[in-house]
Amino acid sequence: MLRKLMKYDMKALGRVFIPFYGAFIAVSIINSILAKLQLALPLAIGASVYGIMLGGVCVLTLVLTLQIFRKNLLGNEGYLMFTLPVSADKLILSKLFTAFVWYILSFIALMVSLVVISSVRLDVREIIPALIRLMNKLPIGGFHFAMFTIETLLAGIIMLLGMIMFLYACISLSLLVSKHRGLFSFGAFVVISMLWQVAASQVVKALSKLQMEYNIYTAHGFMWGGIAWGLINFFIFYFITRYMLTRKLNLE
Amino acid sequence: MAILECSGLTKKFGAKTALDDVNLSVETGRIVGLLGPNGSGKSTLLKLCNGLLTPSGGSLAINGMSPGIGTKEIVSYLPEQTYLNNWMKVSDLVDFFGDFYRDFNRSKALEMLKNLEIATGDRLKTLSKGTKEKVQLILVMAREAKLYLLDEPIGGVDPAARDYILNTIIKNYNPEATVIISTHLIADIETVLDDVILISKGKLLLTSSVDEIREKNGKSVDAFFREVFKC
Repeated sequence: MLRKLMKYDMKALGRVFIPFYGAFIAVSIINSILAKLQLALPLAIGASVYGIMLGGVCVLTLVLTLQIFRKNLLGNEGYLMFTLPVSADKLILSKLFTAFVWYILSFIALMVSLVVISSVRLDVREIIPALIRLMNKLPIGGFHFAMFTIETLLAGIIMLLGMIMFLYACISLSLLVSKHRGLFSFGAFVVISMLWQVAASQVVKALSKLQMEYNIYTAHGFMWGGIAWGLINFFIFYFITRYMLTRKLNLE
Repeated sequence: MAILECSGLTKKFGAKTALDDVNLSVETGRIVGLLGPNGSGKSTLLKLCNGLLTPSGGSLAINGMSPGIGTKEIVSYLPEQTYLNNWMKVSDLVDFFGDFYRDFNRSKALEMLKNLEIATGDRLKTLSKGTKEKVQLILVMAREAKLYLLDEPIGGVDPAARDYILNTIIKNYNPEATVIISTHLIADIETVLDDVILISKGKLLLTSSVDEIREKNGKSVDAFFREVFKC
């Protein structure tokens, strides 16, 4: 059932994202051609269009992934979604994974466009060998490098999932009020963000008091600590969302 | 056997009580009118049956189960709101229902769409409000469910479509299934009803068969309703 739910969620967003990515890459290509031709005025216009689209990718990704959760689950479409014979967990996970996939795809589109743009001054074929040369110059090698790569990747994935879940929890908390739900969600976002910053700063403070010897192993320790912190965050927001959607559901 | 049973069912929204200690039992194989003035708690009751709200007190069972995945498989619900995704085509929705409901009869849905001259290739966005309601009703009625919960199914459509919809309900009606129709347009549906449930201000006033009302009071359900709820 999760696969079926995701199929529709991916489709709902894909019909906006895919044309937008297409236009974005096209504008990138046009800009790189204009730059090569050194046409001043068209380049100035092209560059500003590119700048707007660059910001647009970020804004669109955020707005659409929030909107699909709010509209599809808490708006009128919720009457259909919550009467399907599927669990609330699957409804939440479908939205979460769909948002996750589109964040990654937006990131890839961004990278592709940057490579296209930088191809004006840079031989694209040189990028990968250059990265390999850079890696070889790093002071750590083999095992530790692989571990740090895995840890960074894992931390990145968990942070992203945690961030999406945090946003969904803020939207779900708006079920506590019957009016001004958007405003309430925003308020929840501000208050929880502040609380979390205080909590994180307390943790850092406590850690700084410990008399520790810093070496490569403590660095790994910090990475895993970060991953654990991310996981705790994720589950807290997941259960808030789940509780709101199962116990406090009250569609408009 | 009772398909729907409520005991002491209560729902409060803050200080406001929307349903107050409702005890109710609906038998299998009946077409039941859930009648009451605006704001009497009809929609709240149907939402509770669908797990869209959680009771503040009492309990509710559909086919012996509390609202959940098990009940959603056998309940076909038509809410008052249009809940269809605007970006979808009618055919996408038919696929959607087919994907999620095992009891969805695809060919029946396509036949009804054809009868009402609704093109499956049309996007929901381009359809009028009344046509959207028809599409929604067709999807809901094309399921072979045990319990149909229809919230104001004829409220927003023209009288001709109203007749078609009522015919659809009767024609698709399987003797094993139960249909609960919430409405205040009683005269229009009176002829199809077996039983009525009257609620007012969140309280259950009466459950009775239509024949009983006619025999006891010597008047139609519509006339009886007007007398009970006289303003």
